Parts: sequence; structure tokens; C-alpha cells
Amino acid sequence: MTTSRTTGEDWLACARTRAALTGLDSILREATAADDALLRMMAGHLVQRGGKRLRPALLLLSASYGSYQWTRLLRAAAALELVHIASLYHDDVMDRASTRRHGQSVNACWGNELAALTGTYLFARANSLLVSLGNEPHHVAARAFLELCTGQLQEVENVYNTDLTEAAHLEILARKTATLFELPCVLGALLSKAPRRCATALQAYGQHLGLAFQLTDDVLDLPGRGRRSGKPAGTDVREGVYCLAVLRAVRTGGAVAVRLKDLLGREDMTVEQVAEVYRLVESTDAGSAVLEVARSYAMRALEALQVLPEGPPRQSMENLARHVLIRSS
Amino acid sequence: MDADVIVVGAGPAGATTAYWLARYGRRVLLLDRQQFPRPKTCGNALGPSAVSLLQEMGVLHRLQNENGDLRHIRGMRVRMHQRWRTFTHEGGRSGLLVPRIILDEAIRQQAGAAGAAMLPRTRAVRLLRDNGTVVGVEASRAGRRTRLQAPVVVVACGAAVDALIPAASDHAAAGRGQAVRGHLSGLTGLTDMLEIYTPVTSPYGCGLPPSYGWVFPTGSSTANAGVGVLGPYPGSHLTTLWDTFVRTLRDTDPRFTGLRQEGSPQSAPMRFDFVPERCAAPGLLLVGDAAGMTSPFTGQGIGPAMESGRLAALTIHARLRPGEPSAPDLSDYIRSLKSSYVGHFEDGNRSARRHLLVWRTLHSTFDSERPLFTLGRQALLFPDSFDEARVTRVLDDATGILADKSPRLRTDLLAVSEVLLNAVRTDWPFLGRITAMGRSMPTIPLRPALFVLLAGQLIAPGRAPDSAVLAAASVELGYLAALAGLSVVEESRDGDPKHDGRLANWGNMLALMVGDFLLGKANELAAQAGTAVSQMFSQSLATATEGQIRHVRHAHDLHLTKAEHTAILTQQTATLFALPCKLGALLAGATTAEAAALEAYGRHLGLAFQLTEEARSATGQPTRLGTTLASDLASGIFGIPVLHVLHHNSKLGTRLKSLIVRCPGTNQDIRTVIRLVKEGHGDTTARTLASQYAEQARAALRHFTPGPDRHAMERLLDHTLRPSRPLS
Repeated sequence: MTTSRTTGEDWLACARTRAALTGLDSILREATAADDALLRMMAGHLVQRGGKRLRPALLLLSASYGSYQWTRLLRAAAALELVHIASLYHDDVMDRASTRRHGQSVNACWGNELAALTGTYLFARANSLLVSLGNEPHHVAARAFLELCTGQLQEVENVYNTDLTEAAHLEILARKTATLFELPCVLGALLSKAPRRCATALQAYGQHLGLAFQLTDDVLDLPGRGRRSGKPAGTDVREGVYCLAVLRAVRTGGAVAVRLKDLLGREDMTVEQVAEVYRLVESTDAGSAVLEVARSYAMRALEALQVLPEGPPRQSMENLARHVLIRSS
Repeated sequence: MDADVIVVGAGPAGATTAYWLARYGRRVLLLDRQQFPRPKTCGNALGPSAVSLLQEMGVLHRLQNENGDLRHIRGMRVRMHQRWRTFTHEGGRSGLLVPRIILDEAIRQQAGAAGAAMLPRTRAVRLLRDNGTVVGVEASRAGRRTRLQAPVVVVACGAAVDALIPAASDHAAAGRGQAVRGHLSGLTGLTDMLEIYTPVTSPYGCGLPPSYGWVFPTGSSTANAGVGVLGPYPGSHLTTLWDTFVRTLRDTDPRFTGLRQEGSPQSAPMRFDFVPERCAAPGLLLVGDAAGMTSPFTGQGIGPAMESGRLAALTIHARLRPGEPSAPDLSDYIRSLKSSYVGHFEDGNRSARRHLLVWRTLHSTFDSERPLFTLGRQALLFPDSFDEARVTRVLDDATGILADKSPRLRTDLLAVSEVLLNAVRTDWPFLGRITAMGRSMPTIPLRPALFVLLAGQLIAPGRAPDSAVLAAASVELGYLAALAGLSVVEESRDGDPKHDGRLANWGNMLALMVGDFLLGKANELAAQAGTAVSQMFSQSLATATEGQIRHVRHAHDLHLTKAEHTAILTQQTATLFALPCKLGALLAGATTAEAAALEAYGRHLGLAFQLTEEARSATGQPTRLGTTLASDLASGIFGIPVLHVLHHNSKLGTRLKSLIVRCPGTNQDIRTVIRLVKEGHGDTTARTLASQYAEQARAALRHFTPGPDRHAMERLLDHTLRPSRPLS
């Protein structure tokens, strides 16, 4: 259920980080090694397909404000990438997704049971890497993973809930998505023993960036906005997962809201009804209002960075936040 | 003061409270707006724990004397999606079906006999307060108002509580439901089982709250029947729902073709918005339905009502000092409700949403035999005998082994349970219920925590260190996570590649989310226990998962050798037994050699355990893991007994193979498989292997000097090899 599709890799203006990221693959390969040939293949399935390596990059960049050992940083970076991939394995089983990163998903290739188990296996390997960094980094990560899972449970608990408040919705997003943006920043600062104010700034940056990303994605994924997400259009609404634009549209009042309240909140929606929901949402300004919220989070992410010394790492992180600003306008 | 305690409402909850308080020598005034005996719209069903409480109070005796034979209930059948599931009370326990006009009168009379004073036809109009503390009630009788004063008021007036204590407006609709009950006659084929039908097909589509129907046999051809809904429902729709239910029963069940309705159906409100914190305030306690203690899945609530009355009486008696000016502190009642009903009723203001989610999951996984759903189903539909749930057998009883000289161990196990419950209860109370199963068992179960603690004792006698308690809780949560993870299934994809119009896969979603959540908690607890614990935890998780993956990929593999199978078991099952032993040793400060010996003990015990279960399964006995030969063969799991015959006896092997490949479904087939395995000595081979591993585990223990702790661990081995229940 997590989505984070960035486009363009030119945001990474820090040459040193770019170079360091090339060292990630060997650690990932080593960490996903297994005696069993099939497991090796399944565990490496998404790792080999690359991806943006957004979390590793954020971790390395966040470590620029203290002193560090490359090997330790890379191990942490690899661990976060593995946890991210593990969560994708589980998400794809839950979402019945058949494609991922321009190829077949693991569940499409080998079935739900094995895909789920492989996700857990990757999590275990990632965890071993984190433990090797010492108790504090591991504990910080462990708490973050728990947040992530709690957020997912909260989300599913609130399916078909048109009365979900905006604050509660944002809390769920912060937990289930922003956590995996915040954690690399926090770990980077922690492992490099960055000064306290830098660490605080990086954490705020990560959290706001994560929210900005998710809110933007949720609006751009609305059918009719011309973007193809992995899922068939309308799955979210049918399954009762209402994004902020939908929740806001319900609260606009007037005939649109009345009709939406009538349509939503039930499991037996027809294709036509789903389409009508999206038409109604588009007829309000809820979509653009949510993009405005996303931009405000991106702005707060940018502001947080002001504390940090200037240079390529900060520049890169700013680029990433600006990228959200551009996509959401 | 007019009394020590005023109880408002003389139903089962109020009368039970009054009975116990009177027994304790308290002056009790029991008010009810009606004259008893009086009828009540209800399903009239009592579970075994309510029956024991009635017995304890002498009410059972009174009922038998005055009404002759009572109608005993052996269990419950649930019909969902064209399929029946049966839940039976075990251990000779049974429930009862008693009309409320009789039951309520009997409890009330018993309270009176114990010394409680009854004021019938007296309605409590409002609570009297002094600076926020409840000091009595204003009552109305025959149009005359009186003020009755007492240091404690217990409100037991069911759903009518709203008139006395208005609900917070935002939750007014949440956690409320309604029921319609009628009487049916002309039925055939009724047994001593309650019947629940869910959902009741609503003519109004899926937009309305979930519903269930019940048919509780009151005689050979009569039944108390009704429908309950989990939320607000327009009144006319409710009647239509009842009519639909009755019509469906008549039209689809051959037993009910001659069905007749006796009299007109009655409706009644229901509350399942239980929040422990709301149940006590200065001078005030809420019990029973007034506290929202009705199961939203089956509508049963008499048992919890009586139990809450008992708990309320206990608290009041412990706290109320005669003549003391200040109001007694009754907050213990909240604590005892919490620990008795953790997750039993979903507490908290999110309960209504959770009910819906749990409801969806219950329905979409009704056909699933996977552990999480078996466990959840039992917890929701048949909570009364939840402690007897099949899956708990994996955490088998071990009292006989550990003897009563281990109060220390018991205390430590309780500490582990406490950590476990606190870890899951706030976020997801229902998981607390599942987690609590070990704790609510009267005896010490054979749990992973047991190995952590025993191994620790062997190294350093005395109280387990906090880190060991955390580690033990972590391992137990990790195993529950694994059970949840094992509940992910393949979905049939035929015919509908885009899954259009299909409902969400709640089963897989919940299995993964709950599994990940529990794993996340386990991981966090391990982190609290220290780096070394986390390290072992992660390694074992990776190994056991790899083993499970190999296990899944070799499902239906007739060419799997015995050696490969054993290698998989070593990775998978044996790791799960070795980990707690190693952790316990480590945290007690063991040397490398000692830790290795204990790890070897755990590993070999794990193999002995698994092979014994395989032998059980192959001879047609149910295993302690809740599987059967039929379920094993259906999922393509071939243990040593089957593999042995397949590979080492060409004649029997060929016949067995031809049977297995066509997925034996009938009992006849299964019996043949059992016979072939027996003839080919498959089961004895597995048992011999199990004994060999047990011997290796025993040998590992010789590293330590003999003593009570070593002896306990040796007896665990004997217990593991025991061919079947029950234990001595």
C-alpha cells in the first residue's frame, strides 16, 4: 500500500553519495544470499531490478553532518532498502498486484505463500544487518518498523470510514509511509553522530517529505489524472481505502457530499458507482486542496533543511523536496 | 443510609451482584421497575462458565428443584457461506438454555435468600450526586418519588442505562445494535447444539450493518430464534430482516419446511460498546449489558453479565468500609474487567470499526483452516471455551512435569504474559485475547517462554532477570507472528484475471498485517532485551523462514527424501525450540559450552516433538498442532511415516502413491492411507527417530549436574514422546 514513485535521478547532486551507492549492490547481494536456490532467486527478484534506492541515498546524505565509517553506513543503507523491498513483497500480496518495477511481482511468479515468506526472510536479514550496528540504531529502527505496521493496521481498521478525521488520516500516513522516509534520515544522523540540531532537522525533513510524497501520489493516482499506478483504477475506493481528496470531498457539503455519502461506505459498489465517486471528487476542489497540503509539507521539509550547512548533500535533499513541489503544482 | 449498596436492575447482572454482596454480609437494596417473574426478549443461552457460576451460587440447584430437567447444550454450530462449523464444549462441560422468565427469577430469589432486599416496580429516575460522587438514586414507585441513599450504586439496568447515564454524543450510535426474537415450532432435526446463521441475507444490500441469526432449540420441535444486527437499523427493515431469515430457514433447510411462527416477534436493543474505564466512577459501577458486555458476533451476554456482577461485588466488598466518609476507591473493578475481558469484547472507542473489520475477516476466512483464522474464529464465535481451543495444544499442559515445586517458574511465566499482553493490548485488543490464551489456562502450558525460563534456571537458579522475561515475551510474540504469517494462502484466479467485482482479500491482508505487527512488536521487545537477544532472534527468524520456504516448495513432492525432510525440519521446527533454550542460557550468563548444550537440547527436542506429531497424524490421531492426516495430505505435507513407505517399500509405496496423488478426501481413503503406513512401518520409523533425537537431547543435558531443574527438562522430553493425551 505504500507508494512512492519519484521520477528522475538527477536530484542526487552529491557525487560522493552517488559513488557510495554503487557499493550497495554487493552488500544487498550478500544479505539476500541463501543456501536454497529458489529462495536466493526470490529474495533477489526486486533487488536486482534496481529501483530508486531513495532510502539508502537519504541515509547516506543524512550522514554528511558528522563523521562515519562507510561500511557501517552502507550496511544500514542496505538494511533499509531490504526492509522497503520486504514491505513491497507483502504489499503486493495484499493488493494482488501482478507487476512491480516493470516486471512481474514475486507473488505473480511464485505465489502468495512464498512471496509472503520471502518478505519476512528479507526483513530478518535486514534486521541482522541493523543489529550488527549496535543496540541503539537497531532499537530506533525496530520502533520505526512497529510504527509502520501499526499504521497499516490502523488504515485497514478504518476502511469504509467516511467519518475518518483529517488528523487521524494524516497520522496513519505519517506512520505507514513517512516512517520509512524519516528513518533513513534519523539513522544517518545517529550513525554519524551528527550534532543534535542537525539530527532534529533531518528527522523533520524526512517526515514532512514522506507526507508530501504520499499526499501527492494519492492525488495523482486518482483516475483521470493520467497516471498509471500498479492497481486497476478504483480499487482503493472499492476496498474502502479513502484518500484525503475523497475524505475532503465528502466534507464539502452540498449535493456532491450527499451523493458521495450515499455511494461510499459500502462494499458492493459497481464499476459505474466507483467511476461516479471519482467524477464527483473531481468536480470539487478537493484534489487541488490536497495538493496544496502536500506542497505545504514539502515547504516545511525545505525549511527544516535551513539549519544544515550548505553543500551537495543539502542541495540533493532540497532537490527532492522541490521535485514534490513541481509534481504537485 | 438506606443500604450499603443499591443495585438498579434485577436481571442476571444485578441479581448476581446483589447475591454476592448479601453473602458478604452487606445490606443490599435491589431495585427493578418490573414485578418478577417477568419475560425478557433474549436468546436464553448460557455458556459453561455461566453454568459454573450458577452452580457456585446455588441457583443451578434451585432451577433443578423447581423446573426439573434443564436443557443442556453441547456446543454451537455456525452456518456461514453454505457451510457448517461445529464448536463443542470440551471436558464434560456444557451450556444451558433457560427461559429468562425462569432464570432471572431464580437468581433474584437466590439473592433474596442470601439477604438482599428487593424493591419491585421501582424505577430509578436519576442518580443522586454529591460533588460528582454518586450517593444514591431517586426512585419512583407507583408515582411516588423517593430518595434512596447508599455509598455505592451499581447500575445493572441493561440498555436502559442511557436514561441514567447519557452516552457521549459522538459514540451514541457506535456499539449499539438491535435484536428481534420470536418462537418457532414445527421443526425437526434439532439437537442439543445452538445454531448461528451468519450473515442473514439482507434484502437491502451490503450497505447496512452486519447481521446474524440464531436458532436455539427449546424442545424437539421448538426453538427460540432471532436476528441481531451490529449497528443502527431502521425499524421496518429489522422486521423485514426477521421475515427474510425465517423464510430462508423454511425454504432452504429440509428440517424446517413445516416451520411455524408462534406469536409475534419482539425486538430489544443490544449494547456492545464495552469500555472498561467507563464501568467505574466515584460511588458507581456498571455491570452486564449496561456496561455493553454483549458479544457482537453471537449476541451472548448472560455469562459476562453475571461474571461482571461477581467482580463488582468482590471490588465493593474489598473497598467499602462502613462509616467511612469518603467514597470507596472502586478502580480495581476496571483492572479486573480488563484482565478478565482483554479483547474478549473489543474495548475502546474504535470498537465499532474493529467489529466490522473482524466481521469481514471472519466471513472471508470461514473456509480457512489456517491457524490465525482457526484461532480467531474460536475466539469470536465460541469464546466460552476459548481456553480449550485446539491451537493451544501446541502449548500443551505441562503441570505434571514441572510439579508444584516451581512457583518461581509460574511467577516468571505470569510476568512474561504480562509483558505480552501489554505489548499488544493498547493497539489491538483482540490480539490480546489471542495472546492471553496461555495465561487464562489454569495450568502451566508448555510455551516457548518455558524453555527460556527453564534453561535460565539450569544455569542460574532464582528469579529470571528482566531481560529474560522480555526475551521470552519476544519469542512468544514471534511465534504468534509466524502462525499469522502461515495463514497466507493462494487465491484461485480462474475466470477472473482482473479480480473485478471480487471482494478484498481480507484473509491475506489480515494475516500479513497482523503477522507483521506481531513480528514488529517481537523485534522491538528483543531490542529492549539487548543486542545479543536481537541478534539471535534475527538469525533464527531467517533460518526458520528459510526452512518454511523449503517446506512450502516441497509440498506435494513425492520424491522428497527422508534426509531432506529432516533437514527442513531442523531449519524450521528445531530452530524454534533451540532459540528459547539458547536465549535463556545466554541471559543467565551461561558459558559457550553450556549455551551450546542447551541449544542442542532444544533442537533435538524440537525434532522429537515434530516426528512424534507426524507419527500421530499418520495413525489418524489429531496432532497437538491441530492438523490431521487429511489436512496434511490436502496441503501436500508428507511426514516421515508417509515418505518412509513411499521410498522403502515398493509394493505398498506404489499403492500409497496412487492414493496420495489423487488427493484422498474420503474417510475411506484416509483409512487406507493409515493402513498402508502401518503395514509399511511408517509410524514406528518416525517414533524410533523421535526417540533417537530425544536421546540426543538427553545426552546434551548430561553437560549439567543432576538436579530438579535438569530433571524437569528431562521430563519435558518424556512428555514430548508421549503417544497421545491425556497427561498423567
